[in-house]
Amino acid sequence: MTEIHPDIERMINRALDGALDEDEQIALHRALLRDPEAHRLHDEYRALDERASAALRGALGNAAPSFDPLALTQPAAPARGLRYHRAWWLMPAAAAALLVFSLIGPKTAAPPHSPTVVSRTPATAPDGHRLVDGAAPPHPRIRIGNDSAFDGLNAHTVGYGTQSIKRVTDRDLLGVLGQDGRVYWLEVDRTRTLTKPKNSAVGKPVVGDL
Amino acid sequence: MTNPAIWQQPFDPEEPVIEAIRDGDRHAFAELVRRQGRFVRSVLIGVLGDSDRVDDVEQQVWATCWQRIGHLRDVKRWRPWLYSLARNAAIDAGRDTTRRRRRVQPIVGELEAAGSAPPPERQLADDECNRLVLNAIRALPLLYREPFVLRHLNGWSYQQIAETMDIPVDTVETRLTRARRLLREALQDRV
Repeated sequence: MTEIHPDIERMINRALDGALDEDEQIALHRALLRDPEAHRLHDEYRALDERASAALRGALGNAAPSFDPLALTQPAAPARGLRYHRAWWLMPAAAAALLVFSLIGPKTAAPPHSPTVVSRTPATAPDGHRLVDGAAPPHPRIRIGNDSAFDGLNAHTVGYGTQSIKRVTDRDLLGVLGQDGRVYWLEVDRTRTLTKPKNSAVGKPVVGDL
Repeated sequence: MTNPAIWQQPFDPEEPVIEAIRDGDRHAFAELVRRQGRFVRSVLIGVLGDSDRVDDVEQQVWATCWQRIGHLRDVKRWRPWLYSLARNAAIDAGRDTTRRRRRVQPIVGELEAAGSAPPPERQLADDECNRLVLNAIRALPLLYREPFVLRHLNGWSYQQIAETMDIPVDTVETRLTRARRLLREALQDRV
């Protein structure tokens, strides 16, 4: 196949696409007369265009829509199905259950391997008064530990005094199960000031700062 | 065939129809489907390369058009917007077709299976020729096939194709030239 000059080929294509002005059409016509190969190329491209248009029109078929356009403008029906119906209330129900669980906390959910709530109060003397040896921290504090840490706390929580008592401190220990699975120990000291009335051996305990 | 002179006029007769559709006019939408169905189908054929799924995809395109007409910011650019809807839908459908690995049945085979009388030889020859040409068009790279189909199904000028596809005019001319060259090479001595 003889190579056609690119400019000639370009003009041929533009002519077939209706993009040549009058002067350009005249120039192309002269070029095709001078060059038989260019003329053959022009005829081949024109026949190809006709074949392609006919084939594509046949593939296009009847351009009228095979559907009702007005039907497309109707609002879509809500999604049905047991799967969708079930799903929409499961999520809020799960969120509500999680919220309730977090509010109730460890009182209702107790892991079997560790204590959830431990409350210890100092022993009570036979006369009904609680005794303590030494000063206790006036403020509650939170300690992080596991069961063994709790054992360590036992050693210095409660003691017994023997003489007259002026300050009585009770210490409560609460074990709280955290969301991370660890047990948090809460020490709450309650200090009571024992007052001694003038003519009595012991007085009524009065709640102190705490 | 669309009259190129209409496009070059400052007034586009489809713009009032588009405005009415944006206002919720269902009958205006049906009118647009009737008027521009050929254009949408030509885009689908150009991208898909065949007409097997054009009906289904066309319905999706128009449904999307109705749902998203409110997203069209400039009414004057409704044609490129509709073109992009059709093109994207065709590309998605083409991916599904590739996954399913469908086979295209020859036209002659379908006629025989329908139980009708065999067509005359000339008809067979024309059908075979059309099949060869369509296969060659389908084999064109998408880059060249799209403008080629728009040109031959709608008779559009370079300018009209360029505005629709949002590409330069010179690019349209180059791609059409390249498409013809490839088709000529593929159909040499066969058509």
